[in-house]
Amino acid sequence: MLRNIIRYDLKNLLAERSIQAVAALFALLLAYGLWNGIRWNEHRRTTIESVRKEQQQRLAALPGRIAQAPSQGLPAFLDPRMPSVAGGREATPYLILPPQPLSGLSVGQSDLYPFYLRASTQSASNILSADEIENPDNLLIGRFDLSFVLVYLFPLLILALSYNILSAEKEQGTLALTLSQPVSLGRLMLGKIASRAAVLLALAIGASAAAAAATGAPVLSVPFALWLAVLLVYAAFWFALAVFVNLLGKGSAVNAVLLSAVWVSLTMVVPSALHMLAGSLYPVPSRVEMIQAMREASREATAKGSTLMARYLEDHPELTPGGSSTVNAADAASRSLAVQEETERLMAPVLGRFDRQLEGQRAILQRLQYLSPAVLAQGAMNSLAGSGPERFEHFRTQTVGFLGRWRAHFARLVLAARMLTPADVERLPRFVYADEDPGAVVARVALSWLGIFIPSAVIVLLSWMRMSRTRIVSA
Amino acid sequence: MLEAIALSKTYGAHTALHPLDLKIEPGEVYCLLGANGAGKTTTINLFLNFVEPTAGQAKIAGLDVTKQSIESKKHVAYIPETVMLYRNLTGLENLEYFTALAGVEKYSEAQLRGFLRDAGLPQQAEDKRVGVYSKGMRQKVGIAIAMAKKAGALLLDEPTSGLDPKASNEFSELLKRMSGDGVAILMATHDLFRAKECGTRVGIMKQGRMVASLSTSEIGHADLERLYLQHMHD
Ligand SMILES: Nc1ncnc2c1ncn2[C@@H]1O[C@H](COP(=O)(O)OP(=O)(O)OP(=O)(O)O)[C@@H](O)[C@H]1O
Ligand SMILES: [Mg+2]
Repeated sequence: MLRNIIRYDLKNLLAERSIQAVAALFALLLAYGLWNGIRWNEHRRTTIESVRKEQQQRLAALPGRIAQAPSQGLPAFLDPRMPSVAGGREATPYLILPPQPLSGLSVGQSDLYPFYLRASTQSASNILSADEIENPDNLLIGRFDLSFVLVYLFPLLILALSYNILSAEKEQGTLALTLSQPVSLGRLMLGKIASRAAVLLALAIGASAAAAAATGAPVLSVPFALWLAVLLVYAAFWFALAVFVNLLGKGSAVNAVLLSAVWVSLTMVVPSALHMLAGSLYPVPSRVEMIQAMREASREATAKGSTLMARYLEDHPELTPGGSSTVNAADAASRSLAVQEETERLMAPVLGRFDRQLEGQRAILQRLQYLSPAVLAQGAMNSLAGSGPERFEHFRTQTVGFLGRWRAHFARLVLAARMLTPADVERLPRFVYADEDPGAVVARVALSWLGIFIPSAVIVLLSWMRMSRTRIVSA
Repeated sequence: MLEAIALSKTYGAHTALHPLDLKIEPGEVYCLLGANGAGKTTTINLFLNFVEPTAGQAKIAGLDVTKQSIESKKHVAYIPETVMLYRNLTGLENLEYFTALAGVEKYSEAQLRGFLRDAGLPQQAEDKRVGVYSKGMRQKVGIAIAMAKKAGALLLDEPTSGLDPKASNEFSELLKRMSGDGVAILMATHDLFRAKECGTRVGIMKQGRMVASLSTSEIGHADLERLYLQHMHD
């Protein structure tokens, strides 16, 4: 019975010109999103490859250059043996956030946050200001990738095909003949939804699998299975909504208006409102302000000049064992190091506030994301693709830690007035990104999934309750 | 086979159907007559459970249509005043679909085409989209759908509206044949001649009330018309 409904409804549906056009448009959008994601992924992969290669060549050549330096008579600022030169330029590694298998499916915020940085003994502040939320819309919707198509446009197509599943049958008069047969309204609607879902989900799942295959991600993997689970529950939400609105007993035109309004609210109004709310409750200084503050701090630190040096040494007694310092206070490198440290110290409260504000924003978005299944779905897809804010935060924390270690390493050399030897190159700190705990990602996605599933289930229940009260013949 | 027990329907303050008692046995053809708005369609819709009764009961094959809605529909076929079909499917596909929904035996394609031919649909139309059909052609597909269901009861709401005289006549023959096979038929119609011709009983409705109910064998055509007009006047 259900099979017959699906079969004939599908036949009737697919013969409709407008439906063909809608399906073709969807396929096109999916293909474009897919291509965009693949291109981005490729760009990211080749970028990482080329910086890795550059680093490898540079570091391989460095011991040799250090060994030759004494005979070359280079000025200090070019001498690779100088800690300031090595730590600031010659020996610096790249800090890379590697892509995840599904990263081609959802670019997320990875084109806003840097996915690699070059380490340096300079202040870490530059890096910290990079994840400032400047343009909420950009951050919210991101790139035109597969997840964008699935989260924002897919619902629109679901609604385009389902806004009149019942009202059209009523208006065209086919419902009477259909329901004079031993079939319930519930089963009829289920069949009609199933036929539409079959068309749209075949396209959506097909595109996801194609994207995964094209970027070399395994299709039989937990992240991809979860991706499909999110996709399915998200589609179910919109289908349920269409069913419910149809059961209100209004005409097709009213249904269309109602459903469009819901679509606009959930995919556009609520997300922007959330970000505006987060931004106004926890305003972060703008990029310009941050740069201002940094200049200010650095000027102040420089002005204090050599007096800093004494304090610096007091702060770092481990650097002057036995109280006798080999440090020449007039040494330019040492002084610049002290200035840097002071700048860092002056910037600390500014950065702390910045961090707290961002954390506040994230916390409130975390809580209020349940207001919109679109926000939840996008968040879950980003998480699965490894392009969500949580992973970037994870990366950033490790980055900051590493930069501290890097600076300290070279500070020790500077203060000990030591030059690098070829063997030192081997002993430089190394950065290896430790990825998020996969369990934490699964848990996060599961919560988002539930956040979509529960309202969908409620809508289905309400529809079920309305079903018996639905008029079959129009007055 | 079809039974109404004190069946009534009110819309707000307006009573569309006053309590109606009616029993149609297998083989009977009961014709409902009455002016526009008399309550004929309401009666039929109550049997189909399309509208909920305000009071009373409608039964098909002894099944209460509100309590055993799905089960009761296995025993009844229905032809509305305007048969509307899935316009992107052909006449044959529509018939195939609705018989599948009806849950009756699986017919072969030749048998399905046979039903369409019996209903008077031109053979070359069978494989055309219903979207290009005339009203009468759709009506004929509706007739084929009803016949293919092989139900014990038939509910007809002005089924011949839009049919040409020849098709109308053939439809009357069909009804007689079905009545001979023991099908109980309830038909709303404005056609007094046909009511007398193929009905076994007629009922005259006025403002939601059954004002007269008689056997067609008791009365001639001219008398039926006189009786009808007389009821309409007072
Ligand atoms: N949904 C409704 N709401 C309010 N009144 C209704 C509704 N449906 C029918 N009615 C009223 O019930 C009465 C009976 O209508 P019904 O359709 O049964 O008449 P009918 O005998 O079939 O007329 P016709 O010959 O025009 O087909 C009419 O007065 C109509 O206005
Ligand atoms: Mg009527």
